[in-house]
Amino acid sequence: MYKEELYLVVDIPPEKSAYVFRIDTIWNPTYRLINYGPLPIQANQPLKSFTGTSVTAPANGALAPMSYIEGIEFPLQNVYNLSDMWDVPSSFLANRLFVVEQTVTPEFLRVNAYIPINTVQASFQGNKLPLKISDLWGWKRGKFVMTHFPDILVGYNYANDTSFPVYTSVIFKYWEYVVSIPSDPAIIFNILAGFIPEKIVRRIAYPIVTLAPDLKNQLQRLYGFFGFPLPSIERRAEYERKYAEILASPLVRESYLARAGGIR
Amino acid sequence: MKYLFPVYGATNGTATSGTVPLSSHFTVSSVNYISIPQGIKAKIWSVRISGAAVNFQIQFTQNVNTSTPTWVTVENISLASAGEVAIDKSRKPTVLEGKNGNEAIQIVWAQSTAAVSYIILDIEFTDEDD
Repeated sequence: MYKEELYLVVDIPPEKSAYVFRIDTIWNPTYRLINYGPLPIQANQPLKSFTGTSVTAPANGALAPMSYIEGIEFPLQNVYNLSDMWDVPSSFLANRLFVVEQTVTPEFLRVNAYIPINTVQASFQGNKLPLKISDLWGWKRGKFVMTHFPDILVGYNYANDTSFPVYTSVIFKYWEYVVSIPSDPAIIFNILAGFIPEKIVRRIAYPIVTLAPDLKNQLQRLYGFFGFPLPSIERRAEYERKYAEILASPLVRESYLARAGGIR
Repeated sequence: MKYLFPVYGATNGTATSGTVPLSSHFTVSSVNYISIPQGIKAKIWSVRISGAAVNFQIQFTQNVNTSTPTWVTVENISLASAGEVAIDKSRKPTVLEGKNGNEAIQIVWAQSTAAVSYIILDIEFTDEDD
């Protein structure tokens, strides 16, 4: 089976934790690029406007000047969820996840994501000031990295804060990982503490500031826990004990991932 | 983000002066000015003009969202007779910054005799420090 890095770490910032996965294989070792094409926007579809005026899409796949759209999913024929190509069912693909690097053009377009689909996931001063795609910050331009977990719908948001009416286009570079969770708490500690060489660990932050109830419930069903607590490196024994307790807990042993053979 | 794109337009061949409608490979339709989003630097890397004798002016404003923006000429490029002029700024581009989202660029032309002239600029939008 083909591998690059041996481990994948997905940080869950609001929980001060991280999922540590062993990469069993990469399903697409060679073919990484999906030239998806225009954003799924229909001509004359209503858009939101920075200026408060009503505005519609000037063409298929196009954004009007000073407009934005929220909650975009990516339809594709002949996949599990026809309205969202990145959504797979956790009931039998729990040991699979996608890491997706997205480039939207023109690259000056703003992009961010709501997870699950209607939950704003950027804020300032804790949760005091939620940041949406129409705000001054709380988004990126052109490129976005996302981890897609099974059965968690992600809504992408795009904004055009220029005077151009623009045709959009999206290219995805993706990794379809088949994963399991390491059974050795010492390995988990060493990875999270940075004692394992970086070249065999891919580490990504899940772009969230809050674990919304729907998201929490799905992660619970999927893995049975919300990530391994980030360790204090001088307290190895304590954290390895915590990790062992997590791995032995009934919720983890009965999770979708365990049923898919991802917890041994 | 660094995004380099061409912006092109032409005189209409019937008027001796006007504002050049501007397009790029990603535009649905032409625009009369290019707004510079807040936090973005617009770097003009090159300008080429061709066709009939013409004077093009690249203009900048800090108040495009008002009813009568104040346009300041940043650059003059002229063709004294039919031909082509290329100005390459690869050592040092002209940088115009979007401070509050009210900044914009337009191009106007003037000719003694109305005829078709073309202009193309290579513009980079970036939000990165140099």
